[in-house]
Amino acid sequence: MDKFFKEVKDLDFRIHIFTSLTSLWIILNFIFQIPLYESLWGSTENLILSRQVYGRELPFYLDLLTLYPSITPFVFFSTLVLALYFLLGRRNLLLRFMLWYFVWLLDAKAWTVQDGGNNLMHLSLFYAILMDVPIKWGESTKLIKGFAVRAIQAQILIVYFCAFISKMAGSLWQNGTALHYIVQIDKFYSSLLIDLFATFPLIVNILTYSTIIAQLLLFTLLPIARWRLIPLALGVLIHIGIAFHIGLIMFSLVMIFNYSIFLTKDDLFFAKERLKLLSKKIIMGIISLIILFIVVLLAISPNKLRSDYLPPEDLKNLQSSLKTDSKVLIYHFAMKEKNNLAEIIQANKITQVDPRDLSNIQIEYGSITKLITAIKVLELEKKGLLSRDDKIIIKDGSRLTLNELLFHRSGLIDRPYDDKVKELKNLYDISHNKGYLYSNINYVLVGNHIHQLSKNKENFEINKLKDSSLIKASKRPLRNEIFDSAFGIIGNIHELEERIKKIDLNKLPCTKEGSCWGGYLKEGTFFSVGKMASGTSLIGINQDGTFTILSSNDYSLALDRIYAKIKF
Amino acid sequence: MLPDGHLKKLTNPWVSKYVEPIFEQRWHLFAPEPLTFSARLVMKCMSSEDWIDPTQDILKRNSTFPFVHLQKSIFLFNSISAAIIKLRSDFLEETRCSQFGLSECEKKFKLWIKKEDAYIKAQNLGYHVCRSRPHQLAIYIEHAKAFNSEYTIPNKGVELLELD
Repeated sequence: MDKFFKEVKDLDFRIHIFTSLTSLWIILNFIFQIPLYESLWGSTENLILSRQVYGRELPFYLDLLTLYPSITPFVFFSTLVLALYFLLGRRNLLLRFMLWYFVWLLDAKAWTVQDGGNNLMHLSLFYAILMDVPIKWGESTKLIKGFAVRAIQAQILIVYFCAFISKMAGSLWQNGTALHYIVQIDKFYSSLLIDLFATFPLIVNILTYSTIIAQLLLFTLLPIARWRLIPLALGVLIHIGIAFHIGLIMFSLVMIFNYSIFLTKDDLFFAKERLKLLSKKIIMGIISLIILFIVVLLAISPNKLRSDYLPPEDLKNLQSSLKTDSKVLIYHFAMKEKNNLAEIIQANKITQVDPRDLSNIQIEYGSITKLITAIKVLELEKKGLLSRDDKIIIKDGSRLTLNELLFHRSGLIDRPYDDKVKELKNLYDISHNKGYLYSNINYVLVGNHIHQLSKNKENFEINKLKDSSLIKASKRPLRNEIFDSAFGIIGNIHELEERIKKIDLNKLPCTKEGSCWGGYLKEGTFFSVGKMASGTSLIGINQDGTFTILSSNDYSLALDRIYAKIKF
Repeated sequence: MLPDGHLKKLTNPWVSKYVEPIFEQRWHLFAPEPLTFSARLVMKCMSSEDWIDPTQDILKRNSTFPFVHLQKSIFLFNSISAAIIKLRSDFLEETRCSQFGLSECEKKFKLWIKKEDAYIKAQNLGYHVCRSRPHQLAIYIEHAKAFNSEYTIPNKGVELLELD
């Protein structure tokens, strides 16, 4: 046991490297904390509240800053000076103690525990006090210094051991999705990784499991001298990744700098030799791969970023390019910009509202109503209550199938639905079943048919449509009940979103171009439902010149479609 | 560091008092479960009915240029809301007051939280943001999107816990 502490290889070399790197870390950390000084240790004079809340409660004999709060700035800058003293290679037992005490005290009394890196640094610096015992202590000097080195090494192993064991107990680590959640959290937000994971979900699993395996390797292989360089290189790579992708730069530096306690002169020499042995070609290959990786990441990134945020300016342009008096309602949660506000645009005036208030806003479902009608038809057909081949006889004696009506293949004229429709002599714009022609009347007829069926059959399922919140929520004065089946519903936006989420577009009779229930009409009215790889978007522009633009989960898609329609 | 056993019970009161401040070891490092939501302290200042989220600006700047001090600021803001959420779940669990109705329970919590350090920190922060005592404080919780339906983290969207 004695030997274990006394005969630490390259003891002074390790102490020197470790001390220099940790001192450098302290300097960097405190420089970065200067802009936050007021927030972390701010004085009571700046606050109107009677009680200043400091960090943790400490035993009174350690709690210098509570006894004398005014010396906080002195302690702060002394820490910087002390770290500089050690970085320059000077050594002193008392100053080493003071360095630990100041770093620890400032962190303990700050408003918040910053991250795991600070915690490890306190412990390492505490053991490191023993690194500066005077030589005159003779034999025991080496023993004590050796003990300090071993203690820091053990501490690093404890970190990885605990992290590994507790990760093994977590269900999200077990199913390999933990990183997917971490990168979405404010503190560790990474737009790049979110995009990467969305595009290649397998990478989430690979990176999550790699993290666990790396931690296992770190605490198992680090104590073995022969294998030491492998986990160290792995650890450095992982922490560089953590630093750049989830922003834990100081934490990563603590870990990497603390690894130096494992390094011997031989290790450094070995690593140097190995690097020399690697041919230039391999190095070039690695560099090319890295460049390729970055290019791929950058290529994914811009498209994805665009989907997350639409600047209000664009909305203004969009507004003017359509109709100056039109109403546009846009509902979105722009995750990337954290701009959790819904924007309501009415007559060129943009109002931002709290998303919670959206539940009080009634919007026109517009032609999305058609989807709900169509789904109802499919449901009823599944239950054997009707068939899409059922024929409807209209005024002029023509027979139209439900399917033709649903697919807008009846050839029936389209015009704003009003009583005059009934007086029209020629109901057809194109010949029956000769092509696609969007018409609200198609859906009015479908709705009428369902309505008639429900009247004829008791306990008919369609009653659910009637008593649903859809019709109750409607504010539009109904000329008759069937009006709702084409575009008449007005309702709560969240309710609509819930409905949209449930829609399986694959099951709906869509046209080939992917636009399900849409079309373009002379009056500039269109409605489009599109399903694309990245999500489902819904756009509705109503007959009366008002627009309803909705996107269930991909805002940019909705916008793209609007632009596409304008060009068209 | 000891597991929750008899030995820990016996030694904890005096051991933790001396050992914990210096030798505190908490190596959660995103384990066993990582956080699956962001919680932000939001406030209404006197003159306005709009909620203000002071972290928005920092988050935006951090996503453009992730400087260390910005990241630390996010930690700072988050620590307050995280502490309040923890206190809330502890309160609901310990008092078991939800059996008397959740709204009654929330009222009790709102009274109780006012004495806690975390709430005072939140008020301090609110004061800095509003330049006067904040009219109302709340925690705005945004849940992470679920990976896919196979893995069951309920995607709740957003929640608002009002503190006043």
